[in-house]
Amino acid sequence: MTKIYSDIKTKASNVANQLIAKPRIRVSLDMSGFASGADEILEAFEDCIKKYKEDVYLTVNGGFGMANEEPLIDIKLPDTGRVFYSKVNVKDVENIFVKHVINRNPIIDRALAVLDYPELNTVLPELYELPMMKKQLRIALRNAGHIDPENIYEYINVGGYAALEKALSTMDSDEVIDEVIKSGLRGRGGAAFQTGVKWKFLKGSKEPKKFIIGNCEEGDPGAFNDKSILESDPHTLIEGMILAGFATRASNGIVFIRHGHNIPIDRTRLAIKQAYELGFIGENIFGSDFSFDIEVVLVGESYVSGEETALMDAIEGKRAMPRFRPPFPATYGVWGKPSNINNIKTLSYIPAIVGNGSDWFSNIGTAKSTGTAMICLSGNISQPGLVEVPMGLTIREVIDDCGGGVPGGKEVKLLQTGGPLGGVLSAAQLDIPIDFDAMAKAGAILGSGGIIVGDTDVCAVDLARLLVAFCQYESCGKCFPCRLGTTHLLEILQRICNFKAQDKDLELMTKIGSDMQVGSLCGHGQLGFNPIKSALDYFGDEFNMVMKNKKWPTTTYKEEFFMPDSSLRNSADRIIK
Amino acid sequence: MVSTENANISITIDGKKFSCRKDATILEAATESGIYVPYLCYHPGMKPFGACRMCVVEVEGTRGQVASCTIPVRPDMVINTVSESVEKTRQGILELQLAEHPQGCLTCHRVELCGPQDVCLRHVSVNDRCVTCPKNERCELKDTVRFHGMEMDSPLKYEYRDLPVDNKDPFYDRDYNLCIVCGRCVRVCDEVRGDNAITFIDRAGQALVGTSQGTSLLESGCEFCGACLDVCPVGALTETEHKWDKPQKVIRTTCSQCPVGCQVNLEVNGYSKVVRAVGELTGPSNKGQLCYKGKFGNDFVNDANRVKYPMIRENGDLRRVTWPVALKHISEKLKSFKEKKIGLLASSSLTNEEYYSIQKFSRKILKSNNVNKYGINELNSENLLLNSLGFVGASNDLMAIEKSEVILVFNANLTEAQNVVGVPIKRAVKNGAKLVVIDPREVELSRYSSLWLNPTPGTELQLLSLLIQGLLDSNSVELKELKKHKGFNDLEKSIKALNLNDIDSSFRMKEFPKIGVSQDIINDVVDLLTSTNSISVVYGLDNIDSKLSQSCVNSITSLFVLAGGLNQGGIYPLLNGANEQGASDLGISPNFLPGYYDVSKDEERRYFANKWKSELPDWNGENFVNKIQSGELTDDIALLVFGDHTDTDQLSNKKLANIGFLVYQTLYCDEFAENADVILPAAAFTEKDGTFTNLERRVQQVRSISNVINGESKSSWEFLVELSKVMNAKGFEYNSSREILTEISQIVPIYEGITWDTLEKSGKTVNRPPLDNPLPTQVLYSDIEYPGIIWNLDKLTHLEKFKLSLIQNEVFEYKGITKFPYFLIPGRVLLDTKQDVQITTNGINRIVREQYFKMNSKDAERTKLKQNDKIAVSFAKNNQSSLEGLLLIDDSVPNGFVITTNLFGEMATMLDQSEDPLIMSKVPKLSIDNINVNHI
Repeated sequence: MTKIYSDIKTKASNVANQLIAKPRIRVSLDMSGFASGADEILEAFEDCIKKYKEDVYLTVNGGFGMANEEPLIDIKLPDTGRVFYSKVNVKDVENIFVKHVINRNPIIDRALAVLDYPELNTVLPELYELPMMKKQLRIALRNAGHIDPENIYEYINVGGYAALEKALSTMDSDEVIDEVIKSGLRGRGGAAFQTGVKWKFLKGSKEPKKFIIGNCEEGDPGAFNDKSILESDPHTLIEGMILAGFATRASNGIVFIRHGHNIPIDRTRLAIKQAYELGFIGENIFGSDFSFDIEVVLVGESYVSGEETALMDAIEGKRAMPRFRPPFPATYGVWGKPSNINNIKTLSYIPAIVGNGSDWFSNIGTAKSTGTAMICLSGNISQPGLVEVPMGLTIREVIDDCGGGVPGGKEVKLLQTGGPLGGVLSAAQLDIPIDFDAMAKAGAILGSGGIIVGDTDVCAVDLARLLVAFCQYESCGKCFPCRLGTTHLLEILQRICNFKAQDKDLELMTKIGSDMQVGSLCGHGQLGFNPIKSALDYFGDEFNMVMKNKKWPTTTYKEEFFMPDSSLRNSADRIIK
Repeated sequence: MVSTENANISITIDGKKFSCRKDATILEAATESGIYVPYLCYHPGMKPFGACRMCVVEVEGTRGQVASCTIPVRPDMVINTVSESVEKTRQGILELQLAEHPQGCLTCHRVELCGPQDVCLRHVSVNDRCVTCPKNERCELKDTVRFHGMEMDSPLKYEYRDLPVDNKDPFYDRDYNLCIVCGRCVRVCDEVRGDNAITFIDRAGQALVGTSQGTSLLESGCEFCGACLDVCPVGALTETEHKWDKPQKVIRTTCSQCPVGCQVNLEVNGYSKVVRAVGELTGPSNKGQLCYKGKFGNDFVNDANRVKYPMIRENGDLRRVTWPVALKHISEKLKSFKEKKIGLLASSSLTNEEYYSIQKFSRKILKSNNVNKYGINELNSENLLLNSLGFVGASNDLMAIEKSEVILVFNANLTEAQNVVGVPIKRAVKNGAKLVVIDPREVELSRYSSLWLNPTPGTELQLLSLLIQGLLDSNSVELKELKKHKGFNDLEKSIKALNLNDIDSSFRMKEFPKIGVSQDIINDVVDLLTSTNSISVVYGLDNIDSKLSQSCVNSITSLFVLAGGLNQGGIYPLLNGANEQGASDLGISPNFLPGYYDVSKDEERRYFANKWKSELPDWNGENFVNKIQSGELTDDIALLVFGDHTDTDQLSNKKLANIGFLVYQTLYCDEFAENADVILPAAAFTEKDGTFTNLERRVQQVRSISNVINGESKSSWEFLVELSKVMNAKGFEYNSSREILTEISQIVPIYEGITWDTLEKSGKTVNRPPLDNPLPTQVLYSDIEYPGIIWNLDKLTHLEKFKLSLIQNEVFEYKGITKFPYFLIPGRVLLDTKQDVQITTNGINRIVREQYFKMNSKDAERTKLKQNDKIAVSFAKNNQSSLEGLLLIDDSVPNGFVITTNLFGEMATMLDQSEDPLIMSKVPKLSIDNINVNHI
């Protein structure tokens, strides 16, 4: 162990030891926590601490992904384990604080679960035994909910930056790449390309300036796993990124986030600052000859800017429109320099892989899809949220066991996976395993890892229209097939939904769709017909019913609930202009 | 452009083997091999974009279809441009496109038959008809639709965008109902011109082109170069003037507005009027680019008010006469003047053939060396360049600027005066080159510069001395070589003698010292200059006093050589007239015969005396421009002025009426003509054949548009041929300008071998299918590339003869006049981010904004003015208050000066709205003027 790192490690444990004698309150302040008012809870605790003049260590953390249980807090007294309270109300705070922190009496009937608290295990479930947590295996999210994301020493105390230290002091860059290739890690952004192989392309370039880009654009509706990592454990990403930089001999890292997501942006920026201060980023890291810089770049609201070449244009400050390939990013990337674009999830696995070895990682999951899948559950589901499960679990297991099934005793009718371009699956596909190849075979993609569950009240035609409306609205307008094709597809779907379908509308949509697939410049247009195609494949009879019988197949259809009309040709605002 | 040296890759297209250059894309290779692949967003000279997807082809071994404009060729590639699936994709995409482009006629079987007046039996609305589109028959979309044989019936719903036409900005209209969002205009503005005035707006189905903030072009940074019009494949962007005129004929010629020598295709309608100018893609010095003058400023040749016949002044009134009467009158009158009192002045945009005959006539027949050119020529003395550089002209070609790593622009507002020179500069800056601008005025290039040095006017020479001193102290590699040069020691001594350390070069905040550029910035420039050999120096002498101009040119050339620029870079003197270079080359000078042969050197003069079989005057002539300006005009002086559209402002003097005899050949009866005794109609550049030599010494052709010319107009050489016949003089038996060029090529050493035939033969066929090819022609006009011929420097002198001149420490003191104690430093830029601009629209967009004037606190105190006072600026030259605005106190302004910056957009509206046909040659120069400032 290099002296620099061991000094930092000593300092980190000193910091921790000073705090261990204090009661610790963690408030889970991530997106779902914030949405349910965790910021007010945090303030309320601060007020209590002032009011009762207690010496308490109050921190924020990222959540455990149980969106329904937010705001989630936990209290750990010295010498006891952690007790979790869910759905905390501002009014509860003082009660909990007085009873648990001051009087040292956990409120058993208010608590959700405990962690490392054998005394209470008889009356309260262990956190990881909760139904949503039970089947999970958390690698990228291993620290989520445990450490304070705004404190680098907490990350170091749980073994953070050890993998970086290991790589820099005992490995050369080829060995790191080999390790990643052997681990079988595949890109989590959607294309599922072998990460190590991709790195090799970049490594091959001799340019002094090379970029590693972490893509957290994450514009898919119902996907929030990248941002969750940045909220709960940004240092995992940063360590992964430095390792990627070391493996490919890159000079710069860029974390690319959509603007407005303030919690992940702020925490990442803070983490980068802290990592610079301790010398994990910067010149000659750990005294080696490797230097690396990381910055955060924000982008405006554009779904297409998550596409790797559009993303590079966006970083350069241009309108986010995809470039043609070749040249590929590995030869001509951002600012014309060789670049490598990885998803945040992909990069976040790297410290664990380098630290524990490739064998450990490749034993998790299935043969060709190693490791875990991070799934965002939403839609008609009892327990929405973020879960990390080993690859190979079936979708049904994830929905029923982790997600608690469909609420209200209804059945699953359809699934929307991998973002709006991923199309829909029917209930018959529930038993396919979560695994890149198996999902692709079934005509769906794991993509960004979002699964939106639709129950029997959802109309497939209406859903297809919604998804196409999204694709149309988010088309950048560069290449003709996508700009015009998505617009016409939406127009046709609109008239179908208005019961004004024409005889050959299905053939016409299929023709436009195939031209888009063949002719489009980037994946947005190439996959833009997927929602309609998959809906036709699985729910063709519903289309028939709407088009021919002019009736809705489900009773609950309401008038259009989302329709970004402003992007259509001749929409009202343009004519006024 | 199939170039033989690169033709080393063999590919197979549609079963046939072709050899193509290895850096080509599939689309380029196919087009160059004569195989048509349809495209809408690709355009030669721009980077591929890959948006329209019309060019999809199949490549064996590659999955699916690829856009051929983006894929480079590989050896032994097998490409299929025609197949059922490719056709299906293209038609499908085109069908989508036609659902939002007016297509009533595009897909109609009667498309070839209908005229604009025909009633459409299909009830297609006027908006949707091609026959009412200004781009009809020049439309690339139409070509593409016809090529694919699109069906008239489409299952898709057609919608007209129904947007109002943007016709309120100067020079061109934008009808986005016709736009197909190919992005060519956005890319040419960004990639080629470096202006970024327009951009994509909105997205998805509404994506279109516009300005980024939805403003007018006047405020978006548009320089009205018209590049977007030339690349637009449809009728979305069109010139406002002659919008619907159809060309009957197209003439490739050289632009007559400035010395860049842009190749331009002039479209001529059925009445022999020039209706449009389209930049020629293969033009060696412009590569398809034009500027606001060349693109929109050619209407002067069509004007109804042109002089159409000769006129003689009798008793103060002009009387129409025939040519023979006029010629007789001239020849008789001239006899009564002494040879030293006869002067000939030629405008700086005549052809080489005219220049040659003018000076030959003057020297051989009139025996006078009083021949000179006029126009706005700060660099007009050939001596300046001959004395310092050893030759007259630029040392490299213009497009080489793009490859420079450091570019230094000295006192030149080139984006207005020689606009296209700015194109390679802006592109170089985009590619990472460093631009240094030395100019007290804020000009357009200051915004692009890494370093903008704005010395106090009058101290430019000292600033150059400081830079030279910096270079001498730098110990760069070049210096070691140069130390062998015989002038080096003298140069070094002269710099030391200046004792430059005394010059207060600290910040001017300290009691307004002389130069006002800090030593740090000077050191930065020296560091830049020593960092590379790839240096281009572009200089004008705007606002340099004529007393300093020789020293300035000496210092600039010394700076250029000391920085090592001779090896890789170039030095570019910015002339003004379209053929000023040719005028100098061919002896329009009181001191030089053609080819810079000195009249006062017996041997050199005798060379021409032998060739012309006549004794030639050996005395150095007088510069009649100076004579007119200083008012030494008496009735024993005769003056022959050969004019065209060049501004005669330089020659205006009230004492002209005193002159004995004034013959003026011109396009228009301007102010100068009021004093002329004989007025002769001149031929415009579109009415005569000939050659121009541009500032990079490239001789290029000027072609007449037809035999029909304006009234009885004659070109100057024709006039002189006729006149010499009347005068019974020999040696002027020319039947055509080609004969004159042949004589030039035989006599003038630097023009050796340059004849009309060699210029014509040097043209080679380029990337367009032959005319009899039935395939659509996507790029208009670029079928033959005429590279012109650059006259060789070796013929004149060798670069080693270049002189390292002594450095002078001269300062020109700007001295106010009693009533006008201040000097105005004007600037003009495309964009001013510091100020809000308002647009009023009353038929045409106009910029309305508060003008700001900056002066320092001492001057303000002296004039009893405060911050934000409303002031009026009156000019000494016309004694009128013509500017009003608010005063800003800024202590960085040197003592005695007032600085203001206005917007190019204001001028663009003025140029567009002016009734004066010659307005483009009267674009206001940014000259430093005597002014007074009053509180209002």
